[in-house]
Amino acid sequence: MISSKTTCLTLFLAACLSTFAWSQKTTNPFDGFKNAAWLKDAEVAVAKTSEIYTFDIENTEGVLRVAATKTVDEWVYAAKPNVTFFNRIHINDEVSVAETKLKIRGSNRLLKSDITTHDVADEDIFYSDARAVDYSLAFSSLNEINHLYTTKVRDVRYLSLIFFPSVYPIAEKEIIFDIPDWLTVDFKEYNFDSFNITKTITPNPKGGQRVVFLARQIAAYKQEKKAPNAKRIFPHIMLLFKSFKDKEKKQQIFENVGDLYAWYLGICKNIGNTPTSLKDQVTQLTADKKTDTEKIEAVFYWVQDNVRYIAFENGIMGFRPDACQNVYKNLYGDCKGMANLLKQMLIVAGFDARLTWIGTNDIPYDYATPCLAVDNHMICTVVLNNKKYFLDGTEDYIALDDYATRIQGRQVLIEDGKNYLLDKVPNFSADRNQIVQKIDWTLATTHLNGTVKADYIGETKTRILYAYNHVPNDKRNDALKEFVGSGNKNLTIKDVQISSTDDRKNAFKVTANVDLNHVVSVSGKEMYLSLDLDKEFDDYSMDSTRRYDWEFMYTFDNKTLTTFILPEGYKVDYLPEPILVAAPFFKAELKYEQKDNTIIYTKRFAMFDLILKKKHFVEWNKHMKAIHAFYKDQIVLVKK
Amino acid sequence: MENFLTRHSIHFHLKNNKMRHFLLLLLSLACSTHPLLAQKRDDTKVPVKETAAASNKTASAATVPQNGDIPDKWKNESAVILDQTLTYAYYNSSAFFSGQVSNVVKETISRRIKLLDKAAVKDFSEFYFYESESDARKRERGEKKGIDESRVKIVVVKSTGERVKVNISDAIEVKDDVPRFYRSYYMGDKKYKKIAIPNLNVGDVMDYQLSVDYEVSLNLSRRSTSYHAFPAFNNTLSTKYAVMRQEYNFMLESGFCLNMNTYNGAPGYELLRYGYDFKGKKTDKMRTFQIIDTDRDKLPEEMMSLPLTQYPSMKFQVVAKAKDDNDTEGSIFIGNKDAIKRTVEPEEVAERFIEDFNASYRAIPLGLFWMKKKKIQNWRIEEKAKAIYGYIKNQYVNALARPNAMIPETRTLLYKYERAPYGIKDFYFAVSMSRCLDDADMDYEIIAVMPRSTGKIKDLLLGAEITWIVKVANPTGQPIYLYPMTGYQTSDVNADPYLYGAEGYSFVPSKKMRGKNKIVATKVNIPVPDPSVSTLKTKMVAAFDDQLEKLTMERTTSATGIFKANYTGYTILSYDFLDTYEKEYDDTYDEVATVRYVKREAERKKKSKSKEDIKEEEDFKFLVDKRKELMQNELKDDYDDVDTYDSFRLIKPGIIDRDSALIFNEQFKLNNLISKAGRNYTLEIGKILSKQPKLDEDNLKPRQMDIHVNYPKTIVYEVELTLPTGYTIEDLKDLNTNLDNDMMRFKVEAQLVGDKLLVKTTKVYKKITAPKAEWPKMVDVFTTAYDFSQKKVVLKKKQ
Repeated sequence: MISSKTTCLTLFLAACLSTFAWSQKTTNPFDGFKNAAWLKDAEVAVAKTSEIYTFDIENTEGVLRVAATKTVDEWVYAAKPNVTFFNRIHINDEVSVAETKLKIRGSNRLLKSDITTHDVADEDIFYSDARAVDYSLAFSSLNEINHLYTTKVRDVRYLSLIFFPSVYPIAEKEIIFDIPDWLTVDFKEYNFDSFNITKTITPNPKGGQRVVFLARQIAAYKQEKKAPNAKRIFPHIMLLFKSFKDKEKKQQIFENVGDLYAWYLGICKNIGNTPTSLKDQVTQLTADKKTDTEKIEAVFYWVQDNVRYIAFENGIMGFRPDACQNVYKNLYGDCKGMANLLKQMLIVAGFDARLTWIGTNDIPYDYATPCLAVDNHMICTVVLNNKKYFLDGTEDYIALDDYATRIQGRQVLIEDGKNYLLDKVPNFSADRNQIVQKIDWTLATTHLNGTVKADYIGETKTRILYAYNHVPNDKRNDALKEFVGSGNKNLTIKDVQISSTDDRKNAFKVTANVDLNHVVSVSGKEMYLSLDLDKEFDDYSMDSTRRYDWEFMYTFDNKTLTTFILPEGYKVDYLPEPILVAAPFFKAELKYEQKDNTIIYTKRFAMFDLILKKKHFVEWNKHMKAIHAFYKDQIVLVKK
Repeated sequence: MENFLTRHSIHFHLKNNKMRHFLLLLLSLACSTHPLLAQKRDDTKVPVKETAAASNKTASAATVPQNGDIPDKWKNESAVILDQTLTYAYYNSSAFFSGQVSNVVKETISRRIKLLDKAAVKDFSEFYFYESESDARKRERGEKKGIDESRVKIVVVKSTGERVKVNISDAIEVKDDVPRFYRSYYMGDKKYKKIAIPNLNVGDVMDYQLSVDYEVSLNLSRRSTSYHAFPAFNNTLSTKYAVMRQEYNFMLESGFCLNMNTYNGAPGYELLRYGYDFKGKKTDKMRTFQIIDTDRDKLPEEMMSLPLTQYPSMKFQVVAKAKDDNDTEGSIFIGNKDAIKRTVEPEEVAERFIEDFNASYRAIPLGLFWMKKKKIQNWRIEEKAKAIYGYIKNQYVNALARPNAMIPETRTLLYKYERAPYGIKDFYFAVSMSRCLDDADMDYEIIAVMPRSTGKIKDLLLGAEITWIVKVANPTGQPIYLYPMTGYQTSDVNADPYLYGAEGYSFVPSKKMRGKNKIVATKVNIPVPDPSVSTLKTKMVAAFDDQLEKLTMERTTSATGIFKANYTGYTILSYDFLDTYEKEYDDTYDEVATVRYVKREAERKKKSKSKEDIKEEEDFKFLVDKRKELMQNELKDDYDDVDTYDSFRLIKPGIIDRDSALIFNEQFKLNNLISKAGRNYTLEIGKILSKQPKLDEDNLKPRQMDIHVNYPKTIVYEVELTLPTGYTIEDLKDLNTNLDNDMMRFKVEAQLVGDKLLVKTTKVYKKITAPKAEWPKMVDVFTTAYDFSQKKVVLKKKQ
């Protein structure tokens, strides 16, 4: 990831609670609030939060920056007995905490709370400057407190997103910006639609404007499996700091994408690459390659196979790639380091290769909103015969000109000297990711015996190859069997054959002999059986209480063709009714049919959208119910 | 449920032995198989091969494989340790002030490990190492910057032979979990740093040396702190990775006590009359005990195995004593300073008990008054023994559990909802029983038992290996074995399954014997109970809903023996049953006053509840809800698709000896156990009863280790299923099964009575230990049981 800073900032802002404007009021902020129905499950709740941002120009060693101060003041209460108030403020080299206070309601008496500051572990990032300031207070006889804190952002470039929700439900939240005359900033609103949020702009008596966003009844953030990224679902404000005036002289911040690019370029100017150290390796890789495409592939695949992803995101290293010779020597790096190594190796090989910034599909923005929240990843673009190839060094087992779901269709900012290029990574349809299976069964006394042939294509292929190659040697066969059998305990798998695990371009093929037990029942002259091996999408209904959309890892189009040769002396008495679902976002076909002495079972599941929207849950669940009923229905054979 | 119980019985065993396992750390020398040592038992002499400092012996150099080649048999491993040397050096600090004595342990590990696949490269690409407490303190005080490179050296040896030193200056502090492989024995999980290892490929060798020191201060003024038993090692020589060569060195300055030995064919030790001082300078003022081991396969992953009982292993423990003459408590067996203790004799165990018994005498409950009040003199021996057990339990267990039982801290009452309230240390249990049995003038023996999981009693060396139990003589019947109490269990329950069938030393410490000069202790075997002693009986009444989609279940479970011990913590909320308990065992219990008090309280609360009352009710509800949640989660071990968990009701807590089964009732609904088949249905009858484990391929292969079942047991599931109206079952004969062999039995009885399908399964684990050759018999039963669990019956539409 290109920057942990924006993430931290997001979390830091999302964690805010408060209200300063009410601290001197005579009315009790908790009145008429505590018994609200929408708060019935809350343990701790916030009656009112005020979050005020003010701005100053600071001169650090001759460099002018706009710094922001955030002051939070809020009224918090215990909605259940024996609960504890907890707050975490995310900080880093750019964001610091100036003050925290907890007070008894209606008093200036301060409450004691132990404050701890610690690194924040992130399993994807080896080391970053992200830290957290934590403090808590057990509500005992007190059940209402006033919570205040102040943080400082050294440079408003790092203040891009401000979220409304918090870990606690908030009855009323004001986010206030006191914008001085000398500062130009735009606000963009995201995911406001289903929330009660108003915006007002009034002159500020102290000069400039006061912009106030007022939100009511903000539910607490809830952890839900497969929820889309917070930026896609939570109401938040994007701050686009354009410029400021110092002594009447205009200073650009990010007025347009060109400014953002110039800032990135400035950081990358000091990488300190010495690509000569790559020459021998590049020569060795490309020596026997005949075409340019083969040469690019050789370099790209070498980086995938040999450079491990280990991310360092401390300070400016969250934005500046490590030098190519370091990544080459270490054989590890983050996305920026890998992109830079790819670029330098390909330049050594004689290609036009460029650093490229991109926001993965977690991010709902593009470069029309130039700020540091717009991207989170770096790749390398190679231009060959007027075609752009986007090389993501952090991917494994992916072919040239193939793209992982997370970057498909995403806008890219490509370096072009002092200028820049904007383009898009190609978008693929669902059939880029497939599992195509052919299963042939015969009856062997009371179980099924047969063969499985499976082709894994696209995302399914890269994932299985990664897993296969990262399982210890002596566990690989077991892992492969588990994968092919989808964990079906009644399936015995033998004689597994696989295609090359180095072949990135073609499908990964698996064949095996299989034996399936406990799917055949006999009663008198009748025999009952099911031919399905893995029952995809069985028990895949969406919980009606779920709050957020469901996000799939990738779209797909999986097909299975199963045959079953009728046992001697039996004929088909009953076949389950077919299922056909053809929604714009989802397709399902499950069908048994008889051809001569064979039952043919065709199954197809295709998901065309990554996101299953909440508005489609009812329809989805109806389909899932029908699919479940299909799986619970069995073929009936009867003795002739 | 069976899986759950098996799992938890193991968990419980581990938990019960937490201290024990924590204390077991390194190894001990004097292998019983060593020709020079086998006959020797004199602690004060060390009849071993000795090497003086002058000889400058470098045993480690002799057989180290330098070229990185590994034997063909390990080519398919993920990684292989080419060689490793683990050195633990114990120093007496000269600092001696304010009654404090300091000891320092220096732990040094040097290891070369060859990485054979990408999984290993990934595992080692982030490398963890520890920082000495003293270095960390200096850093915190600002006296030291950077990492002491003399303590951490990491080199990657490329397949070309090139050695690439890893720069550790960029190492960062670790906040998250440290993988077990990197953890120091003495540093636990604190003060670690991590570094990304550059330029690492398959085929490379990680070659590293780490050292750390650990300081302990002793306080002369108190008995319990005037000695320090360093955490003991009790390990097999086989570990996660295969090892070509390994060397353990234990270096001691004079003044320490040492317990050390090796077992099960592990190599013996060699005594070197030299060592290295704290600064690394060779000195003949230290002794080194060295074990060299080669060609060691990794530990196999087999179910029902106890590696310490069979695989080459070692024990090692150092004890620092502040003074020559000060005594230690019963948790360790300690030899003389500067001697090696290799064995523990039976009489020594008995003496240890008597010494500590006398030291603890005043703290032991006196049962005379209670016995007199209860008039137990004329009771039968069994009744007396049980009553005394109950009395002791009330003195310790309830006394601990009762205070503040239902205030907010009750969130920890159930050991975070996993375990019953407190037990008492087995030693205090034994001495308390001893005193009360003396008071009652009853004959008994104390047995120091070495649980089967730890090994044979002849190999006893560490105090933490012992569990104390009591055997009461019964001239008119079977002797009564009383095991340490761990909560509300009754006297018939033993919570540690590995005590059954274990070996121990038995002796009579009663006042009748105390006048004699020497106590005789003899080796005994703890009897293995009949499988019926630990029985889990589950009776279910089941019926379909109208749509034939869900199955409504009412299940009543009865647990005895170890099953009961395992369930106690999940099902019993102490608050409910204290009165019942006290009424039975507490001599101060006043039933009239209690009833009056309870009635008065109920009336008071009816009128108006205080803040405390409300809080108490909320807390109680919290615990009740939590118990239901716990049991609902446990149901997942039995069923894949639970629709709803509707109720949990405790019928009998099983805490009174007279009525000792724990019984509870649950109601829930299940999905997905019935499938359409044309106009008929198939019903997954096997899954309605419960899950049965399916053996994986590793466990279907011939075994390397002998079989150790945790305890003999009987598991019975019974279901009475009402068939849906208009349907019948024609054929049940395929269900009825009876597979019976020496090791296990699995029986299924099915019959149709009117519109009720009755199915009963009985699974019995008959033996707890058996040679590995017997495994196929167990495989037969497991396979049959699993096959049954997948069985279906056809519900046929009546004509």
